[in-house]
Amino acid sequence: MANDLNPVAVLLVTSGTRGDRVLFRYPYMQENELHTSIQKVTNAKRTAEKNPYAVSIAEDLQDGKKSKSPGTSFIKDGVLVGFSNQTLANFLIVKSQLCGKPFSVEIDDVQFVGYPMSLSHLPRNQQNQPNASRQHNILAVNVVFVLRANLPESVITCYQELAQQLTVAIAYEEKRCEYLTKQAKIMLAAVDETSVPGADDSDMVSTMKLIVHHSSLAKELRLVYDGLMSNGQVIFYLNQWVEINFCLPHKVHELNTLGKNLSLESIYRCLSYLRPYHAILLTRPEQELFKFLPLDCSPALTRLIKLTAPVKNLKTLALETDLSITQIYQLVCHMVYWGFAMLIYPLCESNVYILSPSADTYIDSQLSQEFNRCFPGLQLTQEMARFSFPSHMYDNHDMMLYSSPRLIDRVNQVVVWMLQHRLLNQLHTYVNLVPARRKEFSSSSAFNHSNISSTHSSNSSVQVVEESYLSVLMEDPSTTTLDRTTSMSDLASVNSEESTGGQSTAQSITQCASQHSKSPSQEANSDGSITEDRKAQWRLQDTLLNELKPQLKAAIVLCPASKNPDDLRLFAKLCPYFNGKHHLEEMMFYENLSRSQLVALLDKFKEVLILCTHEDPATSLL
Amino acid sequence: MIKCIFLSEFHHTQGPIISHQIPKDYVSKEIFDAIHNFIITKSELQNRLITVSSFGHKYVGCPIYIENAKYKRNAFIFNVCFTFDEKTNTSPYGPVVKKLANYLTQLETELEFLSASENSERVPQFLKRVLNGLNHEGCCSINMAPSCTVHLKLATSIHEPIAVEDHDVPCLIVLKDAITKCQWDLTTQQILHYVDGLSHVKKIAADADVELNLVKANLQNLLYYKFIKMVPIFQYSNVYTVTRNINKLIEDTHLQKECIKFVAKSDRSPPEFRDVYLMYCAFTPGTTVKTLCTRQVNPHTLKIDERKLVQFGLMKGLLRRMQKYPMALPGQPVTARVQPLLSLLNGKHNFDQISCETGISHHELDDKIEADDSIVVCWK
Repeated sequence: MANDLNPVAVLLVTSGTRGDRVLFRYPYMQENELHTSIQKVTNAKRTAEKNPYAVSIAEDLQDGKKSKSPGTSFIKDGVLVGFSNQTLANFLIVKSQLCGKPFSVEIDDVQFVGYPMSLSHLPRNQQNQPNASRQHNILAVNVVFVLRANLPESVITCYQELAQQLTVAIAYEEKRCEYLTKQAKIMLAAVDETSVPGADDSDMVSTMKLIVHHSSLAKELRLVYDGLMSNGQVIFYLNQWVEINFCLPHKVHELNTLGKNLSLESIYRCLSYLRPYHAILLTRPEQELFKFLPLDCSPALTRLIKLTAPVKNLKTLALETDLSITQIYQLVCHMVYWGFAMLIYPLCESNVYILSPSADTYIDSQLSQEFNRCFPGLQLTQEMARFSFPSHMYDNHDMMLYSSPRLIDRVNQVVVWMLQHRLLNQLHTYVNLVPARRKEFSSSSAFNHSNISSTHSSNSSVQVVEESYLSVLMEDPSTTTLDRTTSMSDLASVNSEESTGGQSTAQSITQCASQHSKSPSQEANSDGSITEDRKAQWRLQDTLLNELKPQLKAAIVLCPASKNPDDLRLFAKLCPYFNGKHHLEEMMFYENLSRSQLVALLDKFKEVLILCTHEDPATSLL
Repeated sequence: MIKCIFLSEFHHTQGPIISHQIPKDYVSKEIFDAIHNFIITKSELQNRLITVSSFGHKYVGCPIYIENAKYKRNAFIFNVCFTFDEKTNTSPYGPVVKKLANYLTQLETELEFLSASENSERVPQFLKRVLNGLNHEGCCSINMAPSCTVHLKLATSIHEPIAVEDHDVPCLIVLKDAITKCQWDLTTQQILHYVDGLSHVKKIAADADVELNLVKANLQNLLYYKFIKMVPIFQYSNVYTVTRNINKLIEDTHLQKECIKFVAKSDRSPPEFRDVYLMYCAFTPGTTVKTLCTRQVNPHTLKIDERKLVQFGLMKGLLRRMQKYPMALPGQPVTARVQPLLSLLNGKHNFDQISCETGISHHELDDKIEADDSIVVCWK
């Protein structure tokens, strides 16, 4: 759940010449709860976390009635409870050996993540302050995030990074202008002002309010916490000097993908599929993005954002922005990580989209209300229903409905909006080279494909072609004409070696002899002998398909289209793509083909190819 | 893997010390000094599970205070800590550490096991047995006293039981013999008999003559032990779509063999791999199993059992069921026929759920919804 990734609290702890203190904590706790929960901790025997599979024993139930003591939790209504400030200060300020290293302690159901730093080495300017000996010197500082326990490791690492950024920045500012010392004074003064003698911890809420009011550091920490809570992003200048920028990618992306918990790995995996034919889709308006970017951000990034459009692929963007493609990659990865952009395949009419399985179809969802605001008059449910089945951006036969280009534009915008909110997935066609085993061809029709029948009608001749093909390859190239009877023995050995089909050779030999007249080779050579031409073609086939297993090779040459050298050449060139990992668009991009060319080729070799439609792992995060 | 177990206590003169350590000198004095305030803590944190990560290790412990006037400082403070590598997921060990701390509390209060000086030999022996037992077998049972045997076991992570719906179909994912060997309770035995990968939960309950909720509880138990997997009920009107995982079928030859064996109509003549693959790829959004089998491929001539093909695909994640969500457009009048269903037509309920809840068949529901223009259907 998204909620679980949020920090429970942020703490600022210091250790100084006057002992360890929690200078600031946000959000503030409710005091009356503190006391009751502490009592609970000490009095009640904690029951172990309830196992949902545990057998409930009758005696236990009776016991439960007597002493109602649910396992005390340190988190109550999302607020850290059960720790007094003194306790916190005691264990969050660590020995000097642990300073300058990420710090993490888990206590029951809360985890403290911080980055303690020692400030004792800082030179204190004693001359400027005559009463320095009375000065409260801060020796160590730690910014700690309180998290729920059992968060994924990558989330903890992210928080650790943020804590480190903050602590290092505070330490730097302390060195530069004694920022922390000044702020600490303000905070302590606020504590003194509000505290009533006798009841020390009692009115934390008003103290903390006063601190936030007076201290800029406290305001900044509150800003951090609020940023983390709202969208997982933190960008500001600490003391208007040191830039802090951080983003919790788990949370940033979760704004879009409801329900499912996203891991950092899946973002990285997604980015590893980044290719030059992809495009980026900004998740928020350009102007909003510029406002968010820091002043000194790379000009390349602003140029990229200005020039990007959902129809431009990264290669085009690289040319237009005059950046190298690797630089574009880096910028894109950066933007995707921060949730400013998402990867898509450039919008075009041939794209096929389908409703994402994670889309929220609830009629009254927040998303549909937002949709209504963006596109008055349209209903999200109807648009979603349109993409129940794989559809293009707009139905071709519905073109009449879109009377004006303005309407078409609007439909485009709807699709873009739905892509931005991850309601749509794009489907791509992938190709696999899976030949049938050879006996399939000699047996009766196994497929219901009507067009395969051409092969079937000349079943046995297929055998002939193949065997003569193989025999030519085995033969001494100097021989000009093929003597069938002499090559029979070769043929047998070739067959047993290279084919796994287990076809009986003797049978095929007789077929050779008897069916020879029907061989498709005859179509080329009326005299029935195999000419140099034919052999040259076989050699070509062999060299082109050299990389493949003999079994595959044999199956490919069985396709009628393999007799056309051009087709075969193209097929051989595309063969590396036929492993189910490259979609048609990728082949078109890398091999500079048109869709019709590619589709025609795939159709010609459909006996050995299997097409499969699913989404591209790069463009679908889930 | 537990790297080390050490017993730390608060010595009345030396303060926090490591009194016993298995293996010896794994945690150095310097490291202990740096982190001892998390191991021998202030009394507010007693009886809490504390995990510290530092120096490339994780230390999991639970500080215990036993208050008694007989001790030098009126209390005996100790903590048994497990040490792990930084990368280890320590969550399964938490309950074990806690339980061990409770056992030691009992042993200390009853027998002075930890504090008595004559036991200085027995404690390391005990810790060694715990370490070896947990590392090698995942459990240990050590008899410490006539009335106290220390039973410790590493439990696999406990998650919320997966909800079992009336219309789900349980499928065995291990051999039936392997399951029946285990000693199950009578109800489970009775249910197992009817788990054939085809009948849904409600049908199993009726066939086995067992109360529905009992069946569900039993199936949840079997799910927990990973003996079964739940798949949506098979219907020829269902729509499935192939997922990205289909590539696994090409790359993984073991899976291929398993698949061919599973989907074969008869054991003697297994289908061609190409045909099986082709059939999987033919599952596209919008194509029901019925159209697929009648128009595109003929599973019968391919020697494929389409039910089993779908079942295998769902179990291995090669296929995904597409559910149908009817939604009444807001602000539009609906016909009287669907009026009683209106509350279910909000886009949160799919056809299966509506059918199960109202007892209306898919077909009937389809008719009703198709006749109404104000209802749109989303597949996802």
